[in-house]
Amino acid sequence: MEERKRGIWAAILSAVFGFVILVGCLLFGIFYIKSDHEKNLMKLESAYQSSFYELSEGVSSIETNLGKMMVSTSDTANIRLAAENYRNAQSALRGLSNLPIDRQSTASTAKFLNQVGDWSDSMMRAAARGDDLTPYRDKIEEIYIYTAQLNSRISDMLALVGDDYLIVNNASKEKLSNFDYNEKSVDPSAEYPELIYDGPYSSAQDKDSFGELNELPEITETEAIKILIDAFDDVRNIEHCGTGSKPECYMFTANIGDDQLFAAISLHGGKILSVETNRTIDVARYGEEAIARMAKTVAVDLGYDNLTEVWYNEVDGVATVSLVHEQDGVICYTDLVKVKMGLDGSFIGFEATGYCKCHKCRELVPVISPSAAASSVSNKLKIVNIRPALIPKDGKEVLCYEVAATFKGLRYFVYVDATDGSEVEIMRVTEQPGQGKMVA
Amino acid sequence: MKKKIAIVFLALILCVTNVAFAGAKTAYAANIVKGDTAANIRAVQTRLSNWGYYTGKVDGIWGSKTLAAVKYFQRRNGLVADGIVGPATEAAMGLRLGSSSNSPSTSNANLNLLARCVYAEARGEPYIGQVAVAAVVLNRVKSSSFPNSISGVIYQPGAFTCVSDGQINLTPNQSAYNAARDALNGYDPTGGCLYYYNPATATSKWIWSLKVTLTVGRHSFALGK
Repeated sequence: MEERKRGIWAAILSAVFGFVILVGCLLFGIFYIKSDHEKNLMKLESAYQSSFYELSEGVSSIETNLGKMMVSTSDTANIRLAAENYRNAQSALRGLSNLPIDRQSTASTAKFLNQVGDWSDSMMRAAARGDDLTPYRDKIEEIYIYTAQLNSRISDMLALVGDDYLIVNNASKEKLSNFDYNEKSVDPSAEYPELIYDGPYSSAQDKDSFGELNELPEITETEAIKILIDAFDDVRNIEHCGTGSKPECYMFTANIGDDQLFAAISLHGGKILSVETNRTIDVARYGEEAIARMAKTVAVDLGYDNLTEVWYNEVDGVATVSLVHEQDGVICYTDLVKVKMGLDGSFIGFEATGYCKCHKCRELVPVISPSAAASSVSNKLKIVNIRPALIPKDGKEVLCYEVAATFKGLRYFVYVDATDGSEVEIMRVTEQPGQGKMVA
Repeated sequence: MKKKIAIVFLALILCVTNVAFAGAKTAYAANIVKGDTAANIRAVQTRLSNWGYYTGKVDGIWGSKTLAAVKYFQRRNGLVADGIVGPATEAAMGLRLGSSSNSPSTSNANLNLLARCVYAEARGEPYIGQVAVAAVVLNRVKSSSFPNSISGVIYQPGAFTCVSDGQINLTPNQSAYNAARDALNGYDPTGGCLYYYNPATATSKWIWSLKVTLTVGRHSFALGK
């Protein structure tokens, strides 16, 4: 009997001991996980706060520098401050884009910072060209006022940072996303000035112009479908799937043979803007010359003629042939058409939006001679070829001489202004394994 | 603000001449370079050309110039100058040569990241829908209202669900690479859209307020306000 009692007590004690151990382990596990979670939250919070401070410091520095630029009379000082503002704007943007805040809340601020950096860069380039900086000086005060307002709002938000996990927990998300000058505004972009200057993010670039194309008469959806049928004999099951705005166009899906096809046809003039199929290539039958010839024929069949081949790239059995408009012996890189061909000779895709956006009749007469252009480039370069070319530069067209050259086995294209012989652009040809050639 | 990607876009738009520098041709080589593929030979030629060891055409053809360049490279780098690109030479060149010509190219960071985003966001969509997703990313890069790089746009907090749920780390297939490459090459089937969403799963009121201009597969595309 005694032995049985002892056995029962031993079992109970063992069970209790086991239970205590189990609960202990469980509590330790929970504590460990919670502690780990807290550490991770703290790391994340620190990263967000770091981004916030980066934004704040960037905007604050821009404000300070703009304040100096308003009263400085020295071009040298202004250029140095503009260079600093370019870096500060980049830093502020990096901070802003890393914050976990709705994109629609920060879009206008991001745009403003992008433009301030771009404007500063544009000012530096204008100074380097020796241009009059008055148009830039005239804008400094306006940009300063908006920067100061933004800096003030960010400073208010910054006062909130520092509470426990303020950003991670979204505790004051609404206050932190108070980037808009007027929260009730429908169009946030109205909160900042419109900055027109010579740069890729200039407000002028927002207004995509399809000049001569938009002057052509509008076509109906039925007419667009007919254009597609006329261009591709075996196209079927055409369905309208949407519209595009740059330029305005009808978009269709369809079948061609066993493959799918997607096409965009312009509302004005019924131009075939782009076609893409999902064809895959198994066999390579043709070389560069034959493929380039076929690509040119495709472009002509789709309504684009007087084109010259300027670039051929081949990746995974698919060749992309770039063709540009040629006028009076000048190749116009602005008026670009790309045709994708399989190396088995099949058509894969076509893109002519750039051509439709830019194409027009121009007066293209170089002022300087090719030999004068050649003398403008570095004497380190071994010149291979020179020809006149129209290139896009910061939203404008510049008539240049294209100087193809090499230096220590590296391949370059130097673009020399055909009016004054100044260097407009330098491109280097690079090649990535499996991706073909690029210029950068 | 100008940045490298903008330069690449400009470069792609410019697409400069090939009169002076003829393009590559397809060819296949014997068992000299791992994998037997023209792509691998091109990779070797490209690397040697970029580093100044090779001055011939990057054509994927194993010729005497390529052999001489490989030997030259090996001599200069303390390797056995046998003209064979084995593991040591491959490593010295900083290359990872594929075993099949069909393996996707992953040497370009932007292409790779864009392809990962396309695969995570739009696998199972029609091909053109995949190009459209890549084009939206690039349209954002070009827009002043978004970060100025592909990585900045893709990793912007809350911008893409594939980043939040980790699917961005899945390995993309060939279709995703092709779609990313087409978009980088300037093809934009969306006509400039900055947003897209899946109407079956989107919960944001704001995204529903955008005017849809194009529907491809399960995705609706919008220009934005």
